Amino acid sequence: MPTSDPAPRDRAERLAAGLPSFSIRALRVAAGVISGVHGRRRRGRGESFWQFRQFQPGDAVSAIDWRRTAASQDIFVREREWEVAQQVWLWCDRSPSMEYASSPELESKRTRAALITLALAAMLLQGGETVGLLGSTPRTGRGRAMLGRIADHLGADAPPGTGMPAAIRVERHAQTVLVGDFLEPLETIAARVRGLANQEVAGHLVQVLDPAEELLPFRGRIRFVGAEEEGDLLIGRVETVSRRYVRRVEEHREGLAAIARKHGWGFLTHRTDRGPEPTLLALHQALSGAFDRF
Amino acid sequence: MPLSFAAPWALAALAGLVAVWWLLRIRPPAPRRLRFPAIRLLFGLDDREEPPHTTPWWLLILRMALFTLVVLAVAGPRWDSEPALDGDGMLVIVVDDGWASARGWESTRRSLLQVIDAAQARGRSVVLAGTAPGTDWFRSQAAVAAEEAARLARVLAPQPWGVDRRAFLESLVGAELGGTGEILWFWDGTDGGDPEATALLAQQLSRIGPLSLMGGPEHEAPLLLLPARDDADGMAPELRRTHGSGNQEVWVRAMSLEGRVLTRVATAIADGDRTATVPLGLPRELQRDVTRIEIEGQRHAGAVVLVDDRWQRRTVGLVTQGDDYAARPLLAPTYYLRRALEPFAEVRQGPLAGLLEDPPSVIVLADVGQLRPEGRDALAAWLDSGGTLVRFAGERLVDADSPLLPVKLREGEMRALGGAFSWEQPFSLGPFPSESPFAGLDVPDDILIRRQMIAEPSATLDDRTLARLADGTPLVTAAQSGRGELVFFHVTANTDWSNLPLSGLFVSMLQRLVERAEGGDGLLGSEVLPPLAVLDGFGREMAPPPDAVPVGAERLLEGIPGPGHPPGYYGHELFRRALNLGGSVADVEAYRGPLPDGVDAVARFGTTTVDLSAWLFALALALLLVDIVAGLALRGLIGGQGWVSALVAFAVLGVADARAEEAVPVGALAIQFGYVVTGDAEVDRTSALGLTALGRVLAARTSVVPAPPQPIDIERDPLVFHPFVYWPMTDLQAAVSEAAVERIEAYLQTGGLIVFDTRDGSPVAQLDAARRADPRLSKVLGALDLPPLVPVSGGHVLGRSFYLLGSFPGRWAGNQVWIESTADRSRDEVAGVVVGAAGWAAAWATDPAGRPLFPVTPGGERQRELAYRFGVNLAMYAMTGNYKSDQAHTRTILQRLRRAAERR
Repeated sequence: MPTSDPAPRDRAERLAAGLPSFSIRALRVAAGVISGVHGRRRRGRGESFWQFRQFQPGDAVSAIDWRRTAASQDIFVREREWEVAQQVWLWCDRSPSMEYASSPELESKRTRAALITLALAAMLLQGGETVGLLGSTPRTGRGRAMLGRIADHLGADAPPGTGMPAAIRVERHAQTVLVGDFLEPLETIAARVRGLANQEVAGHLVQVLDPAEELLPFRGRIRFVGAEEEGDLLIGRVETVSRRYVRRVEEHREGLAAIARKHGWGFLTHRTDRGPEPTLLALHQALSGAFDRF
Repeated sequence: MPLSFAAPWALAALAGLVAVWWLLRIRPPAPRRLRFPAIRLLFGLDDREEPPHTTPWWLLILRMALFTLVVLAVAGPRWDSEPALDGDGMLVIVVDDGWASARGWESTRRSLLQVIDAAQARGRSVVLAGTAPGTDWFRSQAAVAAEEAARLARVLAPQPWGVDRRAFLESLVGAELGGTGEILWFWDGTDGGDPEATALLAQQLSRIGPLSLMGGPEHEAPLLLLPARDDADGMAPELRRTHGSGNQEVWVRAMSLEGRVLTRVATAIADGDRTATVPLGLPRELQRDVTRIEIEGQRHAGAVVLVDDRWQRRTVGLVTQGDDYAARPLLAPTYYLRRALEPFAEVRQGPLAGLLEDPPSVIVLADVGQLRPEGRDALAAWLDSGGTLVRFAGERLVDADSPLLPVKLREGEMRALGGAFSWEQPFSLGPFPSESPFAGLDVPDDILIRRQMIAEPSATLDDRTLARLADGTPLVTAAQSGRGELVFFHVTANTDWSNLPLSGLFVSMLQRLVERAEGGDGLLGSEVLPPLAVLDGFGREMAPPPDAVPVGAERLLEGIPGPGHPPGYYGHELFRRALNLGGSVADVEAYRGPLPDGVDAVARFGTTTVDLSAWLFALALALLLVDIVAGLALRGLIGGQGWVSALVAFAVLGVADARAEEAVPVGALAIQFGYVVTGDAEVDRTSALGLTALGRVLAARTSVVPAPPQPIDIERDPLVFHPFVYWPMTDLQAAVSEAAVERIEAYLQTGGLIVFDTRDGSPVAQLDAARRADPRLSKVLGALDLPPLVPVSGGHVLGRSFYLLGSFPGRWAGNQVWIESTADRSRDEVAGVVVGAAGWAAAWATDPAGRPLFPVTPGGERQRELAYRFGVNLAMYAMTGNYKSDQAHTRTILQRLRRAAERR
């Protein structure tokens, strides 16, 4: 486990107890987005059957499909599809600011972010890619075991003080998907993204926000308290500032998009009052496009 | 002032309103705290200064009102509409302190003390007077200071007798009432039995000074209970209300000496009626234990009737020797005596020796001449110990030597009046001597004495004569014998010699004699009875006060309680007579006469002092709730449909809860017999009572404890819940509908049992082994698909299921009972239909006290017992089917099993 602090660990275990159902939900979401493994649609060193072709000199004898050969005059060789395993690093913001849901009906940002991350991991693992959780798993891995490990890490509390992942050494040409609320100052985020992009890592930012954070639908006299010790703020009549707040959120978002664009990264937004599928689909397509460039 | 405060100093706290105002102005409601991750984006948005946030004006008002209400409530405001006492000079207070005031005495006394308090505050002197005769009319001889008057008013209590306004009026003449500022009359609202005096008194009082009438609340009008009459239905006291109208439900209870409540009876006095009779409905045996009857919740002397020994019914022994009249019962002397005595006495009949084993109060010897010596001695001993012997003349007595006679009879001489050989006409009765116990009874003219026995003239004969003929000849004579009394009628107790036994006078004479009997009551006229326990004005029994004096018997007979003679018991433990208030004040009613000019309508006291603080507190609490809700709303904490849905959920839950009380048929949870409603009320009632009584028998003798029977409308109600259904046949029986037939058949198929009873004892034997003979039965049975009916044989399970029965009698005996043939072995050989004519329900039926309602013929109580046994068997058969027939074969089955085991 990534932490030795007993209290978060307790919590992690509690969360982990609920994880099977959470994982199942993630798998279901993933299955709804793609059906089947996205093969490369060409012959290669994959595992799945691609086609039979006539034996040619030079082919390995072990490649002969004896069953097919026995059925006809010719000798046939089984060819497999060429599958390339991409390395994808995922990151999910687990900072205290993510523990927020403006109404009891909504999931917290953290739950939703973890769901998206896990579903994405499931999709990628099904597709045969190797997947790692940035800052948590030492390397990428594949198969269902990796999915379980990622789920464990997502359930656990992040080590304190982690915001955006710092410059971590990752393989070249790997993909990264960063899921979080990205409410930190734009400079901080730009620095982190630059750190990753300098390693020739392509990536996507997925901003998960609560609708209240986007629209500020409150009224009256409210003392706002930050989630990460930013201090507090008393506003006499919140309704008077909400329009300016919305504009400011948009500006922040444009800033994020600009950072992403600058490094050739993708930028997606997601709100917790909407379903995760559209975001996943968009992510999937963005990632597929990235794969197809190879 | 009508509005006053219990703690006026608390109003000083109203000054705190300013502080509340100031606090609310400077301390607006606390902001709501909200955790918000995107706070970084909020910083700097609210560029204005924190505005001088003020509490909304309506909240300000709300809270100020809340504060004011609490302060006012703590100060304890009261609203009372006591009449203002603003005059000067002496205050004269006249109080009706008779029994009629006891009901609302608490409020009277409170109001009285308030008035005196008010007088005290103004330093006025007070005269206090009561209108009920007692120690003194005026409690204080002259005007006293208000403190003294308050002390007197505190000890003032209602008297257990009525007011005497006429006498009070006379006492007014000598009273020193000069300088009277005001007169208050605490009036009981009645005319005190003397409307004229009431009007005069009001007139007189208003002449002395300005008069105000004070009356208690209307609903506290007292009710009177008049002593019970003893009629055929037993004790029935009479209720009478003095004033008040409308329907009034009253509970009357009868209590025993130990204070046990023997019965409670509800009676309604109808709108417009003044009186109602309350039959207590007590069985005779219990009636003897009643010592006190009272109206519940009245608590005054007029609502209590004490019952004395007169109510204990005497036992009268009728001596019969030989059985001469067995064939001619209407000629037997005892026949008339029995009929005359039974309404008011417990009559036992038999040979003398048997009667004396448990000595009755009175023994009647009718035409018994020669007593056996040992019997005579025993009779004399009983007589000397206090018994009353009543003898009648007769043929046999004529020549008998009868020492047990009050007067010496002329030997063998009998006077015949009228008839073929006499010039004399039959004589009637003369008036009763005033000292006779019969005094006051009316003598009808048509009583004719044709023959009588003549007494030997003697010096004492006149004293010993209780009744004479019109010519002065003694007809009834009496003499003391030891502590007992010997009474002799010079005629027979049957109609041979006179028609006296046919008259109502005979009954009254016997009643007087029997009432006189027991415990030396015979000399009531001269005895003086000391008070034993008396009632106070509130109807409570207490030890006699020192001023209660022994009362002469005449006074008791007159029944007028008064000073010195409070209502209560007089006499001693073994012999007590009750003096009741009710009869003497029965004519008291609401006063409807004129009141003098200038006298206000009655000011009602005791009703209008309202403590307002509870209301203020309630209002403050409501405002507090509003404030909490408003505060939450201000902070944006109320929103969404949560509240609404919670309210709706509450409402729905309430409705659902109410709906959950769907009626479950009793029969589904308990064993419950059913009977088919025929439409004939008498038959239906008999069925219900019969099955109820059968249920009692079952509960007593078996483990079956049925619920009260269920009436069944055969066209509508389900049958399935009932083990068996009793279906009496009447001529009203209509054919049953197709749907009902289907239901009946389904019921029978599922093991139900229907008992058809034609109830008339007509021979169902001619039922033709089928069902078409009887038109009533054929209407029902003809429609049913049933196997043939067969007579119940001796060995049928119906005769075995609990009791071993050979016949199945009901109200009638000897009728064949038919049962569905079970030869086809359907339904485990359990029949579903039993048909008979015995009238079983009638044999079972009893009244609530357990007495049978119908005679059974010809077998008497033994037959009734057999009817019950049949009922028990029927219930067992309905519930256990052929279980018993299996049991009958148990031995054979066991033997067979054993043999099979040995063979193996």
